[in-house]
Amino acid sequence: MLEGSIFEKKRTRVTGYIDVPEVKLEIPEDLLRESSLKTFPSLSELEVVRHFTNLSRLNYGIDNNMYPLGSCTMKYNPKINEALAELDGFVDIHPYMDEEYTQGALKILYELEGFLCEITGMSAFTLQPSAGAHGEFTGLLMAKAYFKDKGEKRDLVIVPDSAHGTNPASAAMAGFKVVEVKSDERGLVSPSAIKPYLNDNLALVMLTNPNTLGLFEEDIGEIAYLVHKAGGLLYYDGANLNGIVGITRPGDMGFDIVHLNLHKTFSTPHGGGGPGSGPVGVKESLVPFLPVPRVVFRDGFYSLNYAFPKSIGKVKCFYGNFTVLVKAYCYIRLLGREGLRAIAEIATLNANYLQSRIGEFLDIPYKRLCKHEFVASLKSFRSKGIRALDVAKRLIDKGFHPPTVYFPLIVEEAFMIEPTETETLDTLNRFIDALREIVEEVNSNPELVREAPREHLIKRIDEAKASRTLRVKW
Amino acid sequence: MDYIPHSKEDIQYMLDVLGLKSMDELFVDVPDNLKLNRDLNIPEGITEIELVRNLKKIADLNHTSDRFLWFLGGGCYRHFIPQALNEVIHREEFYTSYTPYQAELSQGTLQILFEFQTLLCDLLHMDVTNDSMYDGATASAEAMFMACDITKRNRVLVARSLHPEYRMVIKTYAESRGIEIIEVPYDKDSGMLDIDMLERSVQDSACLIFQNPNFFGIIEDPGVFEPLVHNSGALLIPVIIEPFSLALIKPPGEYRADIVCGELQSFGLGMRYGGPSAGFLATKMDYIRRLPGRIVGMTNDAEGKTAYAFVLQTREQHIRRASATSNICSNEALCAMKVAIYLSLLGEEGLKGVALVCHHLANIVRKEVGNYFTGSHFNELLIPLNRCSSEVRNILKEKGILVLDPSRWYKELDDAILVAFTEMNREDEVYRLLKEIRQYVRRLDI
Repeated sequence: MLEGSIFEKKRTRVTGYIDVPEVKLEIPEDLLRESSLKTFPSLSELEVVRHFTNLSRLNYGIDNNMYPLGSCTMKYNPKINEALAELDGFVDIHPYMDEEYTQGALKILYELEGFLCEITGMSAFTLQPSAGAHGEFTGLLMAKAYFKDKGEKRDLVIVPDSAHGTNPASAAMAGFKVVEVKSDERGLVSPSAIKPYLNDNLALVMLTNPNTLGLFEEDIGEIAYLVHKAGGLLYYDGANLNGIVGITRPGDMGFDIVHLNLHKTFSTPHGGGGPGSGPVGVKESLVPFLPVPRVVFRDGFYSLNYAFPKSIGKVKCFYGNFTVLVKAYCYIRLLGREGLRAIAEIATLNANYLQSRIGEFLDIPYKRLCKHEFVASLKSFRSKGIRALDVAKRLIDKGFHPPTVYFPLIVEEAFMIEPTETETLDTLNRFIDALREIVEEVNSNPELVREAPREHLIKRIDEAKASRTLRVKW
Repeated sequence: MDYIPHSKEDIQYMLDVLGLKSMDELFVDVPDNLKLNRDLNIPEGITEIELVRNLKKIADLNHTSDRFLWFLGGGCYRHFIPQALNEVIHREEFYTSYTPYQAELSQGTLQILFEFQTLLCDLLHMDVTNDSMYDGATASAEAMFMACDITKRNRVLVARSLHPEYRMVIKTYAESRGIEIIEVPYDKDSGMLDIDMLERSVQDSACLIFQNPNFFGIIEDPGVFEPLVHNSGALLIPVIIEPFSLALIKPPGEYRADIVCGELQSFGLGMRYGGPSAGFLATKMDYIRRLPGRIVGMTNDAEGKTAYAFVLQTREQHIRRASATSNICSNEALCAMKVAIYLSLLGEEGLKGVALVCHHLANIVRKEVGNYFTGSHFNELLIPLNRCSSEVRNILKEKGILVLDPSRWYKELDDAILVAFTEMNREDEVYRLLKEIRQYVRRLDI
């Protein structure tokens, strides 16, 4: 059943949480609020709990079924991490308490930084950025400061056409000029594609490896050599680390700056869009530019150090999304070195198994050994009037969350599928069967697909109307 | 321990399907010289039992607020959180779901974000808000970018009385685009924005960014300087860091703010050593296409049932790439949802009730020991001292009383301490603070 708006509910007696004494306002009358809070509900606790509980039933989480969103790494979020991040000792502490009162928090930040350095092969990390894109922006600002410090004027950033949208957006936001280079017929960035830009204007090349087709950039060694020889830096978008963790490290590939998405590889949940965390790691030459404060450990005592004169400053108030960082710390402790490597192995096994089986009935334009994900093209359905979006919506009828659609942009009618390591063989087979059924429907009864979802409580939503009418509040 | 469900037989079967002999063959595309070929140098995995034991020990190294007499504020406030909020927000359908791009499977998240937008717009008296920014500081920086884009001007006025860390973040962001920042001082008597100085520097500016109530807890009078700002073609951007204040004081829409940004940590998000919380960015309908971040709108499904979906995604990085209004993708959605649930639990009555209690406790202090500045306060103020700030702060700390030393950020404020009051403080705690501090107080305006 759908749940009506909270603003339509009949006003009831409100559950009062505190006793309010007689208060005389010490605020001049002309500074006081005039308008009433007309939309604020007046409801009992049970009414509020029911409303939001009913709304939760209109959602779909990982605990419901497989979530094969490419580039999103929707894996199981261990329950214990949620519970431990909510311990009073982590939740009930203030960022401006003296360090002697927050040694536990600082210990977590310090040790997590060490773990991330080892996992990526970098020299130091900042944990301040709140999300992947925030990390990109931070990394780009450090690169900017680095070149400025060297007295060099470089303002060109190269991204491949398969890059996440945040890469060019972050580069533009940080004041760089962005050039997009084409992937080659293998779906990879070839060294020849970047050669025209290897001059003293090149600032960075931003790469995702494995890339958004799920393919390992095999020429990364040569690309790193060329970029460095031209005086540029190599930036690593860590969204796809899941397929290689413990196998190979961005630092060893030659990357100078790395951001990670802790809400992906390290399973701090996505929370319906956030909070995430986007730590940024750098090689030694960029360490002086990291945001402040940095956590240091001396004589058995953890402290916050602001004394880095070349630092880019702060990119966020306080020290980062702390309780998200606690969850990533827990995850790494639980899995340990062998568990982390197993992620990459099984995530890659699952993705290749799906690619192989789905490749029996869907076109896979760049079909080769993949890593954590792969991309199918549904372009052949166009003749039946069926788009990738229609197939995605029909998957909802079959009880699955759809994959990422229409990305990467270099594949027409793209279907980007990432199973992660926590899905069973049986679940993968059920997903394959569901997809195969839909492909049969495309041929036998395309209406079923075009009008999907048909069996779901909510039918196809008119998203264009939402943007046209722009009703953005009650 | 790990969460991999595959049996040895499953793995063998899958390798057979792929025609591979071993797991290693899954990685033949990684050049040998780039392979790690050793174990990661991090500890071996542990069991859930060991993890719990370990983490509880680490958590115990932190000192929680109940061990102190607590008056810490400065942009992070200790407010009450009803258990119903913790319970509802921990439904897996909320926290394990992805960004609601597939609207048909995400009506829960989308409707709550729509309700969040409605409640926040009402509180701010503004037309439209997005579904959160990383925090109040980054929201302020994005507001600055918006203002520069709208006015096509490249210098911004920032009040010195804005939270020092917010100013640091604004500075970091401004440098990336070569935006010039002019600091507007505060009046030494009132603690409010120095309007003479504002008048002198307002020409050719994109915006004025000021905090209200400001970092010293002083309520600004934007009605006085709003015409000055608007007549020069600049935008008025208030930063709200203690949103409970808006239950009592004039909301930004009532003084013609163009963009409003700030922090929602007070609304049920907890302190968490500073994060995650949720920033917000609101504006007038005229500027909706300039607003970064996600926005939900109301629409319907194929059967005409009310439904919700993201609007104007063409502003965003996944469509517009290098020309997007911002690079923001993941935000703090779950925190925004928490805020919607929190405000629903409190209602108008509860919101006002909490605001009144906070204000009341600060009133007691002002009446007894005065306020460093003559401006009026909401729930936070500077107590004037006859000794130096750090000394008194340390004396109080020895007695288990936590306050902030403003000279940490403002060298000139070395004879005051900053104290904040919330509904978590009892009156007798406030009187205990007064008793301990009385001999160090320099009585000013009483």
